[in-house]
Amino acid sequence: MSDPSDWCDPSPGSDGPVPGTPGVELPTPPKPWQIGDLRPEQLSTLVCSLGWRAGLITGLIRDLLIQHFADPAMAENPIFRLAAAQGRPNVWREGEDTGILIESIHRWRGDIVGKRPAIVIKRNSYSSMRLGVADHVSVDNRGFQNYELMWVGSHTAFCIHGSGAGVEMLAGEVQRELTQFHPLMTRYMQLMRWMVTEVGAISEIEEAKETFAVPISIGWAYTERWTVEKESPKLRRFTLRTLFQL
Amino acid sequence: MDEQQGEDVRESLSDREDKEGVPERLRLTPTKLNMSAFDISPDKVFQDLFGRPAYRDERTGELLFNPRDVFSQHKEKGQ
Repeated sequence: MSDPSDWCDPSPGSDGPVPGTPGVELPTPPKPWQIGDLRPEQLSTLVCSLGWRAGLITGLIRDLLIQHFADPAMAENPIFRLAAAQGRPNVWREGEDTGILIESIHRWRGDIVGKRPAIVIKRNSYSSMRLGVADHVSVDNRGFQNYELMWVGSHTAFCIHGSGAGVEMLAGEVQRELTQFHPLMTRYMQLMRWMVTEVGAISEIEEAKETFAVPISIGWAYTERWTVEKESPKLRRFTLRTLFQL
Repeated sequence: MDEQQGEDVRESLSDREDKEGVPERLRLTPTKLNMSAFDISPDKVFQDLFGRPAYRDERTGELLFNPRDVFSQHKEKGQ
């Protein structure tokens, strides 16, 4: 994958043993829980206890992509599996020797980017959107006010590679992974919307020499709910006169 | 002498400005993507996700989801 010639697929769309390479068989797909560090139940617990926040979505995208690229058997495009079968390290691994760097833009690795494929995740602006007057939506059976607000924003996954053809293949794999999981994202992760909204043009990046990038933008929307629990009514009725008479 | 004239011509071409005052050499240089400066407006994201522009309150400047509008549209379609 580090070299454009590595990406040449002898038989596009083939599955199973790779023709023309005797003795080379594609690895069998691992169980989902054997790869990556994404634990949907942990993430959903985190979301339930803390609520959605933009930082969690950065982590969600990173974990999704790590899980996908941790084993070449998970890749749709057989070129990833072919490269792995031929002994080229093009999978994600924890540490410096990772084949694909998958990181937040805050952990920019200038020493690695440009030398091997990378996916850099960046949060874009997000904005609040009123659902009701002063965010008020209801009153619960204890008499406390319930509020709700919607947040709309996006993340961009920059697919980076040293060649134009390489970045196209990487971007195609990332786009399909993020697009096809959208029903699960909205159902199990309690997101209001999740969609790959745009795949940008190939362009060189300023941050690294002779390196191409394709920006893949993921739009999302979620609601933030909260309840304001006021002090008990009895305590509110205490007057200063009562206190002075004690 | 000819080489010097050639260099002068090249220099004048690269420094020639277009109607908007942008030097030609800048216009012909492909722009590079700056990842740090890359951003997408939430208004555009909303349009992409919900298929309609977000409603902005002219008085307060706040973005409103405006569910009444959505519900009335659904009602009209149902009828």
